[in-house]
Amino acid sequence: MLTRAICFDVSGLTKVYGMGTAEVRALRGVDVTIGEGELIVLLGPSGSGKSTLLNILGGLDSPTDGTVFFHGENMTAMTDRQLTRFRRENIGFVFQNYNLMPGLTARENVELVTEIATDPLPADEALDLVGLGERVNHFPSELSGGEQQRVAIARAIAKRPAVLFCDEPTGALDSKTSIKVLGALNRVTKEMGTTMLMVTHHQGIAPLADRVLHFRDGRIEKEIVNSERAAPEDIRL
Amino acid sequence: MIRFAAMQMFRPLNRKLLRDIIGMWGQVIAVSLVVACGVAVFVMMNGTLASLQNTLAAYYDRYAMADVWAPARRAPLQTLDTLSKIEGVRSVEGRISAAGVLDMPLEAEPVKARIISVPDGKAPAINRLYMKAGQLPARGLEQVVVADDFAEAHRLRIGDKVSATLYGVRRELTVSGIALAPEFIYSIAPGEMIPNARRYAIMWMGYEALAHAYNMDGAFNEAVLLLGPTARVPDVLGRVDTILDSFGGVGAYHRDDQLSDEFLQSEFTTLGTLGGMLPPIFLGVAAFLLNMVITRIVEHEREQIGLMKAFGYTSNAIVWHYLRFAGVIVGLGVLAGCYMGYSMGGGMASIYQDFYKFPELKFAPGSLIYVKAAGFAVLAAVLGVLLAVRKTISLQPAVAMAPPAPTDYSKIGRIAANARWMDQGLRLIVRHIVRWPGRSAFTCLGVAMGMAIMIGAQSSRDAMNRMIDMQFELVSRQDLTVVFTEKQNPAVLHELAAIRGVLASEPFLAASATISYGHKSRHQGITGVMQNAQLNVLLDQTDRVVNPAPRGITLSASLADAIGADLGDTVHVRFREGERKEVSQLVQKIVPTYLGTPAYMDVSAMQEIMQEGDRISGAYLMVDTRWLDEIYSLLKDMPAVAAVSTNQTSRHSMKETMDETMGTMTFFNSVFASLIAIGVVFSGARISFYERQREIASLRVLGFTVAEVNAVLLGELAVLTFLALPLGAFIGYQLALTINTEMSSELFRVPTVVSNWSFAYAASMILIASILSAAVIAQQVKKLDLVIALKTRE
Ligand SMILES: Nc1ncnc2c1ncn2[C@@H]1O[C@H](COP(=O)(O)OP(=O)(O)O)[C@@H](O)[C@H]1O
Ligand SMILES: [Mg+2]
Repeated sequence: MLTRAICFDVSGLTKVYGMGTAEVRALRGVDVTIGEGELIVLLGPSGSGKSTLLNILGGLDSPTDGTVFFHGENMTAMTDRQLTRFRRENIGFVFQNYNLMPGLTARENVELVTEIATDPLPADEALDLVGLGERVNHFPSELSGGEQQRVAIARAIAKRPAVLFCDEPTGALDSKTSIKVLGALNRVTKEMGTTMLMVTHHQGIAPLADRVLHFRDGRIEKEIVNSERAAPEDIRL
Repeated sequence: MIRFAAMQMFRPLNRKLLRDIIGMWGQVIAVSLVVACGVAVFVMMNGTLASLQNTLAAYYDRYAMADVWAPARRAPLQTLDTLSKIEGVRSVEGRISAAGVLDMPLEAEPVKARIISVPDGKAPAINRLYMKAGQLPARGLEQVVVADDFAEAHRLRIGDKVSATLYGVRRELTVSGIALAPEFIYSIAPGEMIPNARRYAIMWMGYEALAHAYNMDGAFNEAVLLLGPTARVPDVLGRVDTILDSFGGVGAYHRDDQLSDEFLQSEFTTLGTLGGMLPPIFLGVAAFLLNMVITRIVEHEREQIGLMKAFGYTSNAIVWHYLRFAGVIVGLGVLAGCYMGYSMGGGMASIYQDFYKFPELKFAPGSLIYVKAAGFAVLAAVLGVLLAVRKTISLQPAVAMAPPAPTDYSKIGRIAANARWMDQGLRLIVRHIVRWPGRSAFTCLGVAMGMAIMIGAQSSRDAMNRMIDMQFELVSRQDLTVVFTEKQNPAVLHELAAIRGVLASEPFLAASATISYGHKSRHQGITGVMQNAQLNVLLDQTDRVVNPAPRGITLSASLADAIGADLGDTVHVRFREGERKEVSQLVQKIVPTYLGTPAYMDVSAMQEIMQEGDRISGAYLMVDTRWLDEIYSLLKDMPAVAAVSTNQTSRHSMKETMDETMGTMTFFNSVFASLIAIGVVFSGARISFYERQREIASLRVLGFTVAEVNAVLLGELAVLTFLALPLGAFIGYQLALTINTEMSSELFRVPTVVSNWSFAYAASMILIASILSAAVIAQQVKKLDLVIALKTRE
């Protein structure tokens, strides 16, 4: 772990939503360093600030205070345009509710990204990686939840992102399907050396990670380092 | 009580209502604006009409507007006694009505005047004068009261002198007063097509002085009658005609046939028709838009509706919620609309007051008009909402609550799958349009209607312009029209033709007559025109020149319509001047006309019937315009010439006149139509942004720039807008057709033309509105909070 190059360097990160009595402190000072190629699982009760951290690291939201460096570049100083470029070039997102374009087929959903990326995987190849080679011409409405989520993963990794953010990717899936989806995630990130941050409330997913960050009340309460990453087939959900 | 109210206030649905309104304020404002425009047009148009009618009725009443006019050649004053004894006649007054010519310093051409006598030493009891300044003429003096508009046009003041030629004698008349009269609210010189205060004067002179000038002592040539409430008009007219027959009576006529009133009534009909058509169309578009917005909000909130139903809210409670939402929109719209309508109506009233000569015209339509406007708006809203919520409300809660499956694109989806040249953005645009054909069609139709009402609003003006162009380019091709004081020997024509600069001349004969078919009749001048005329011609349907029938009579289609005669019928013609011949004439030809209800005969055939030899009433001249001024002054000095009018002036002032009233109304209407179009376009754009926030956010998260996302979102709007343009042009044309057909009155056959300018204007307004909406939406895409957009479930 110590040999890895630093991907994100986060210090003193706070995020306050609203003002006055409606004020919500989502993050109350988070310091963390994330190495390249690491798989981090974020655990913690609902409302503890996991998604907020993910959104800030992914450039979807800005912190109230503190700094985030991405490969030595200060993200907090970026303009909206720069953040868009940052997302476009480096970041993949997978959300709990897939967020596919209903009007595009599986392949076209992936192509949506490959068209604007610099050195993408061919769309079919990305779909092969998540085990959907056969269903490239199907529309989201013709796919199961797990399949839709795998399309979302294919779409997220097709541009070979440096970092992949997954916010409860299996939250809407049953355990068998979840394992399939996690398998797909694990395989592609390993193959491409992608850094991955995954929010989940499943304890069972923790063994997949290099490191597990436990959140409580907007802070990292504890941090557990796994000696090695378990295979998705071996975990129990 | 207070607590109850507070609880009411904070019931969850009330809170949702408040938040919806605040959250969708752009939408709320846009739809309110559209409603406001519909209401404003309603209030303005119908309010102007009501104000005009109320004012007219009050004016007629207070100033004793006559019911019957009975012109004669010369009747002794004692005849008035006989007339007053006719059953149903309340009172009678005899007067002298004479034609004169004035020489005004501000006008190069001789000015026509109608001079009417007033009783000496007292005010007339019928057709009373509204004295704006000064007083009635003093007994026996050559003093006149002049009509206000003429006084204004020639800057006349009390005490000023006017030189006039009365019955061939030049006299200096002194202005003793300035007045308005109910019978001359609208006045127009004989043979002219539009009022021109500079060129036509109405004057009142004391009876003694006028009788002296016209050698009418002890006689009158026009009786005016007031009728009692139970009088039977046809009977009275018949009796009057019989009594005056031996004194050269040329046919009494009722107020309905009196020029000023007839014109007003026809204007009212036009206003009423437009007022009956445009506001409902405008409000219809508002209802349509409201329906579109609410439908899509309801669809968007279908899960919440399911949830509310699951919690035990009744369908009615939910419908009521959306009705109140619409109610707020409509309420704002009605308030703003009534205010706008009131302001514009005030503007219209002052324009009409200038155009018509009312002592005072205020925009005071009465409160009922606002109530009606509000009623219609609410009706439109309720309709729009009920249609919108019907489907969703009837869903079972469980079904409504189930997270909507991703929209199924599979049926139509392969569309464009193989078009490799398309990028995903374009594919999204095409598929979204095709996947929601109803929604796309609705948006498209909405924009098209916005465009259509602009075209419709412009069309009456386009039509009027066209009529004027037709008249002067195709029909009246002469440069000058010369009217003689009395019918002249055709030798005068040679005199005219010999004037330097006159290139061509054509004679015409004009006589007033009554044309009747069955029991329908009209007072209508007949014009005798030449065969193979070149200057003033008749046209057929295809605007080709045709000759008048050499025998029999040629009617304008509008006149034929009015009296119900058709080709081959025999009409009865009674000339009201000269030998006052009565003849039956076969309708040999019917020609379309754009202005008035003219009737034509071959000039020689007409001379034969009238038995006044080969005399003519005037001539049309084509001149070399370089000599125009000289020709003018020459003509002005010719004793035989009563009036000279140039086509250029006529055409110009005709358009000017039209622009004053119709043009202003059209302008207001098209402003409102444009606002509606903007509202519709903006709402369409806004609602599709509202619906697709999540998709937009997804694209942004994937790294699409604001510009790229806009290309997808606005690209779709652009496609729909471009589809809407031809559709809007088509619907607009149909609308113009309907409006013009409705508006074609007896007097005006309104052609349906939509000028290129109107099309271009409507299309550019749509494009501008689209671009502005796009700019607003683009701002919102930029500001969209990605995290929140993705968190909220579709
Ligand atoms: N847009 C927002 N406005 C106000 N409060 C928010 C917003 N987003 C998140 N929060 C609050 O911030 C806290 C952290 O939220 P989040 O990071 O989503 O938690 P987690 O993902 O750990 O469940 C929560 O208390 C949540 O209510
Ligand atoms: Mg979360």
